[in-house]
Amino acid sequence: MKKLYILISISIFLILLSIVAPYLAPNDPLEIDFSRILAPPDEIYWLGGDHLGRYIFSRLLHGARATLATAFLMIAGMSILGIIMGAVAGFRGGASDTLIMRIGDMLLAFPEIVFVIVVVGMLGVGIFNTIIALSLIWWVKYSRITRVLVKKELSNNYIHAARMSGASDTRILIRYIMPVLIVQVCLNIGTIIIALAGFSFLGLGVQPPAPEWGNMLSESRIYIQTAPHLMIYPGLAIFLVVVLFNYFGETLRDMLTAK
Amino acid sequence: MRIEALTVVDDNKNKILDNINLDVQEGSIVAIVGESGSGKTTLANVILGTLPSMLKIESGTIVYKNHYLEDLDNKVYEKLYGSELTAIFQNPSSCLNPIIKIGKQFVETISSNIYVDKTNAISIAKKMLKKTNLHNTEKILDSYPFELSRGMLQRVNIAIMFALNPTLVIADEPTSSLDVLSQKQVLDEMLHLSSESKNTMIIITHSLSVASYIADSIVVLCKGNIVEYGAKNQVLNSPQHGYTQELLSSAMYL
Repeated sequence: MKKLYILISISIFLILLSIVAPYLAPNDPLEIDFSRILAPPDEIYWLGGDHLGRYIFSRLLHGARATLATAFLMIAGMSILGIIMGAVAGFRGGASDTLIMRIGDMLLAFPEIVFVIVVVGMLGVGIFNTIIALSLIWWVKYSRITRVLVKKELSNNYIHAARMSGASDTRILIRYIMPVLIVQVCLNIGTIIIALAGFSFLGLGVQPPAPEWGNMLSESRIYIQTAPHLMIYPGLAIFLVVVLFNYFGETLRDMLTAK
Repeated sequence: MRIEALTVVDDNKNKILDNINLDVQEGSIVAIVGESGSGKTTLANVILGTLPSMLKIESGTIVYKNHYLEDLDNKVYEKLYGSELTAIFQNPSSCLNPIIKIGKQFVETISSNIYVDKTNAISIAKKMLKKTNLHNTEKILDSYPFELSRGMLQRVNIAIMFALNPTLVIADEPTSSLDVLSQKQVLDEMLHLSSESKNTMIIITHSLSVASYIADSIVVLCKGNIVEYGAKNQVLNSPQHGYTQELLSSAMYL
C-alpha cells in the first residue's frame, strides 16, 4: 500500500514536471548555438548541446510533455478499444466473437508501417493522426488478451458461483480481468514511447524541431560514437519512465489480486 | 414455481428430460433424487438458465412467480440472480476465488446485491456465519478459501447465498463432496436457514438419506422421466414405482 502511494506520487510529480517544464527550463529548447554543437556537459549547460547546439537539458524538459502525452493518449485509445472489443467477443461468443477476431486477424496481416502511412496520408500528417492510425491497428493485441482472459475466467467454477450470487459481466470484467490488463497496459508504455519515436523519425510523429524524447534519440543516432551523451540522456529518461510504470503496474496487480 | 411439459433434447435429439411436470409449493423443500445420468443436473440448469449450448429446450414452460423462465434473455436473468434465484454447488472449494480472502468476497457479494456500506456488510456477514454455526467469524473472514475445510467452506457458501435472502435456492449436490459429519451439519444449517427465511429450496441429490433428512417432498427421476413425486413419507414408505423401490433397497441406512 505504502509502495503504491510512493509510486503514485512519483508519477504525479513526473506529470506535473512535464506540465511546468517550460517555466523550469533554463533556456530555449529551439535556440541554435553553433559554438555548442556536440558540446559535452559542463556546469552551465548541464547535459551539453546536441548536433545543432541546442541545449539537451531544456529539450528533455520540454520534450517530457509531448512524450508522455502522446504515450498516454495512445495507450488509452488502444486499450479502451481493445478491452471493449475483447470483452464483447469473450462474453458474447458466437458470431460477434468470430467477427471481431477475424477483423483483428485482417488488421494483423497489414504491416503496421504501411497501414499508418495510408491512414496518415488520408488524414494528414501529425502526431494525433498517427495515434489514431496506431490505435486502429494495435487494439487487436488487447482484445486478444481480454478475450482469452474472459474465456478462461468464465470456465472457473467460482465465476459461475459469482454469477449465481448476482455478479454482472461488468463486475466480473473489473474484478478478474482488469488487474491483469492494467499490468499489460503499464508494461506497454515503454514500447509505445519507443514506437512513437520510430514514427517521429519517419516524419509521421512529432514534427521537428519540436523536442520529443524519441525524436531526440533518433536524431542523435549517428553521433553515438563521437558524442554519446546525445543519446544517453533521452535514453535514460525513457528508461526511467518505463521502469517506473512497469513497477507501478506490478504493484497495482499485487494490490488488486492477492488481497 | 411450476414446470409444465418440459422436454430437453441434445444435439442428436436424444431426450435428456422427457415431459417433466412439477409444481413446487412456495416455501417448501423439494428433493430431486435419481442416479447419475437421470437428468437431475440438467433440470437444475434449466431452472438456473445455464443450460449448456449442446442441450436445447424442445417444449414446455417454466413459470416462476410471473416470469416465463425459458423465454428470459440474459439481462433479466442477471437481475434475478442473487436477489431471487441463487445456487449452491457440489464442490465448495471451487466456488470461491482462491486468491481473495473470504471476508472480501463475502462483503462484495452482499454490498453489490443489497446496497449497504462496508461496515453493515461485515456485520451481516458475521451474523450469517454465526447462524451457520461458524463462531470464529473474525478468523474465517480473514482466511483464504484453502485454509478452511470443505465442510466449513460449504457452510460459508451457504451463509453467503442465504445472506442475499433469495426466494428460490437451487442446491446441486450440496453435500456429496463432504464427509458424513459435515453432511449432517450442512443439511442442518440449510434447514435452519430456509425455515427462517421461508424460501423455496430445490435440492438435487443422489442420496435418499439426504433427501429424507431435509425435504418435504421428493421427486424421483429416472432416465429423464419423473417416476414418482409426492410427500416424503409417502414416497419413502409406500413407493409406487419399481425404480424407487430399487433405490430404497440399495440405500443401506435411512
